[in-house]
This record gives sequence, C-alpha cells and structure tokens, in this order.
Amino acid sequence: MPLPARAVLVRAAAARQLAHHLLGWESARLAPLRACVGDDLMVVLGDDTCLPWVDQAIYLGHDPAAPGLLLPTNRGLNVPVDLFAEALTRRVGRGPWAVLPADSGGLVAVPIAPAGPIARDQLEAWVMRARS
Amino acid sequence: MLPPDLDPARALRAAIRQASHGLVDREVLIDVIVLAAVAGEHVLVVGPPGTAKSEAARRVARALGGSYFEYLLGRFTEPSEIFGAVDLAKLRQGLVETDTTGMLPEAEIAFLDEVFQGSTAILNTLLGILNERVFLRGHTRVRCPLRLCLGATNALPTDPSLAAFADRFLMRVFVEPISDPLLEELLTAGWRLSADEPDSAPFASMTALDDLARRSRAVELKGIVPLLSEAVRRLRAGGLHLSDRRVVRSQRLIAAAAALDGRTQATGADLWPLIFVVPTADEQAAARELLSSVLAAGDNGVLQAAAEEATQGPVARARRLTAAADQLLADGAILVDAAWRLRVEALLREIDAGFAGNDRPADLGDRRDKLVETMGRVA
Repeated sequence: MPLPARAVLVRAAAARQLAHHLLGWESARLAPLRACVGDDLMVVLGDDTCLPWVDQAIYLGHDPAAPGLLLPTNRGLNVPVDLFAEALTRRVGRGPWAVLPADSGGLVAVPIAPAGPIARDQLEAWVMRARS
Repeated sequence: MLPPDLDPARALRAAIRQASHGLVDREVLIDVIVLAAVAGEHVLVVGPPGTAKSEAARRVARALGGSYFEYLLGRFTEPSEIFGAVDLAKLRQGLVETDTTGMLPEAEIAFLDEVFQGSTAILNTLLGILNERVFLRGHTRVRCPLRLCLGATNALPTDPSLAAFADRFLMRVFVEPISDPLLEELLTAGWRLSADEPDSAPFASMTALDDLARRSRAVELKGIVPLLSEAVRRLRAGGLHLSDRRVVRSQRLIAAAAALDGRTQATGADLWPLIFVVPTADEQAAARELLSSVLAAGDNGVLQAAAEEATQGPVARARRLTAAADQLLADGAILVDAAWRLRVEALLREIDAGFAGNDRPADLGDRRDKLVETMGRVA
C-alpha cells in the first residue's frame, strides 16, 4: 500500500516547470503548502490532495515507524524503517529529511526543516537563479 | 434498461454503477451488498447515523428490480411490524396465520436498521428467515424469496446473547462519515440528487442475480483450498480467530467473486472477500497486514472498489486508476476546462504516488502517457 503523499520532490527541468506551475496558482491554493529549494531541486510539502503534479515528480510520505523521514510513496525499503531511520540519523544527523534513491545507486537526503510558506517573489527569484 | 440477453455479470456491473451514481464513497458497501446477494449471504454495516447505509440498500434493490422491505427496529417494535399482522379472516376460521403481504417474509432485499434492537421474538424469527429462508409463525410457514438482508447498527453488540444472531451476517462493512477531501463532492452530489428524477428502470434483475448465484455454486474451489487454509492459519498466528462457520462460508463469497469475474474456477485473485468476513474494523485492518502478500493479486472486474479496499493491493488499484483515466480521457474529448485539468492532475498524482515508473502495469502506463500528452497540448 503506498504511503499517503505528504510532499513532492522535483529536480532540474521538472523543478523549474513546477515553479512556473505554482506561480500560476491563486494565493488560496498556495496557502496550505510549504516549500524549500536547493540549487536545482524543490520540495513542496502539504496534504496529498493539495500537492501539485508535474511529470517526473517524486512523491514522498511518512512511515509511522520513522516520522522524521519523508520516503518515496511507491517504494518500500528492504530493511525495517525504524532501523533505517536510526542509521541515517547516525550518518547525517537529525532530520527532518526527504530521502530518495540517487541515480548513482546510493541515497540522497534533502533537509526539509527550512521549508516555509510559498512566497511568489522568492519563487520568482529562484526561477531566475535556476535559469542562469 | 439494458438488453435482456446481456451477460448477467455485465448486467450486475451496470446495476452497481447505477446504484453508486451520486453516492459518495459508498462504492465498497454497494459492491459488498451485491457480492453477498450473489453468494446468498447477509451483510452487517456498522456506522453512525446518516452515512447512507439505507440509501445504499435501497439503490441496490432498485437497480436489481427486487422487492424491498426496510424498517427501523426499536426495543418496542412488535413482530407484526416486521412480519405482518394476524390474518383476521383466517383467525375467524380458528387458524392463527400471519398476513405477510408487503412485509419482510415477501421481500427479496431487506434492510433492518438498528437490527440488534429487536426483541427476542423478532430476532428468533429472523434467524429462521436468514438461515433457511423460511418464515415460521403459528400456522404460517412461508418460503421466503430473500436474497439478502442488510443489517445496520451504530456499533457491534457487546451482549453475548446476540452473538449467534450477529454471526448470521457473514460480511461486515464499517462506514464512517465522509472524509474532509470529499466534502465538496458530497455537497454537490447531494444537491444534484435532490434535483434529479430517480432512475426507476432497473439495470439488472433478480433473474440475473439468480443466474449468477447458480454459476457461483458451480465454481470449482479445489485450487484455492490450500490458499484459503494458509490465509486462515496466518490470521490465527496473528491472533485473529474466525469461527469454523465463517471460514467454511467464506468459500461462498470466494466462489461468488469468481463467478462475477466471469470464471468457473476460483483463483488467488478471489480470496479478498475473506477480509470482510473478519468481525471488527480493527481486526480487518490487522487482517489486511497479515494477508498482504496472499491478497496482493486480488482483483475483480465487477467489484473493483471492494477488491481494492480489501487487498489494498497494486492489481486492484491499477485497475481502478486505469478506469478513472479512461473516463477522464473520454470527458476530455468533449470538454477541457480548469475543472478537468484539476481532475487529471489529481489522478496523475495518485498514479505517480502509487506506482514507480517501471512498476506501472502497461495499461495504466499507456493511459498515463495519454493524459500527460493531453495536458501538454492544452497547457
């Protein structure tokens, strides 16, 4: 059973596409969401029915055994989630983290503590930086 | 009205769609009612007042064209209110017989609200009707055409003296008030329903139901006996004990699921009704966990909602999402507007959240690609 989605993570071109998509939303639709950005990625957090969709998006959810982690909704771990969370904390520190498989075969842990309300001017500034 | 020579399973599928139209989040209950009717079993629905329990029963009766009896039981309900009054003409002749005209003994589908509130006299008589389809009272002995009794209650009874009666309802469905995300849909559907004329022409018939019931009784179960035994063992190992009676009769539900899916042999895909045989909501949730690998292949082309609810497995989920995508693609061929885009985004989100790219079944992947392409064209 997939985890209920609580966040969406997008990278590269999909991240820029999502940013444009969100800039077209009314403020009321943006209000329930929080977001944090990296150089070329974006994580948007919110209830599953509020989350945006773009192609190539990765949806993340909480497993009750590891509430400080956001994990891909459509993949299970092959180790107990609580042990995984413990090992990750020892490796990268306390979260919260969004964790997903890396293209190279390892894992990527994205800090999501900085997530905050979506401000249009900040989103526009990020789009400009991402383009350059 | 569908062609009279339509395959009974397809007729029932159309009847289910008709019954579900306008009811929000009650597809599982309607599927379970139909499955129980084909299997010749009864359903207990547990949930607070105002959660469309009786409406679901009425709609199934209407969609099947069956005679329907409905009553709200109370502590002071007289047996005559359920079974009929004494036939005065016969009484003058010295015979105590019951006039059952229009009452439960003549109903093909019955709904009894607050079913455990009935007196001992009522429940004892009901036992005979539910078990043997025979109404016995005084000199009256009537063969009942009852296909299904849907009992409703706010909560499961705790009185041990009611256990035997409760056990006659093989299937259990637990309903809750509509969740927050579906409130807008509930309000819109409810308002639209009050304005629309009810569709009085049934999409199926008792004949179709009886035909499927016959096919169900002829389904070959040999292949699933080991799987069912293993499932029951897993439940027992997890602390969930079903009565021998419930275990044996669950085979009727499995056979009915296979018959509705057009098969003469039951397979592992038909085991999912076992979840609804588990008596309490907490135990049903535990059973899904214990049986997740056994039920992963669970699926049913007619009872899609119930199969997915029981298995929470990828096969049934993919089937529902594919059907939803087909509907959206058909709607999009007519009109693409902001509301359609929102629906497509919601479905694409559910597809991508539920299936990694390489895990998507081919049909679902194909529909997803078409929806993405359509969204791109109209962006």
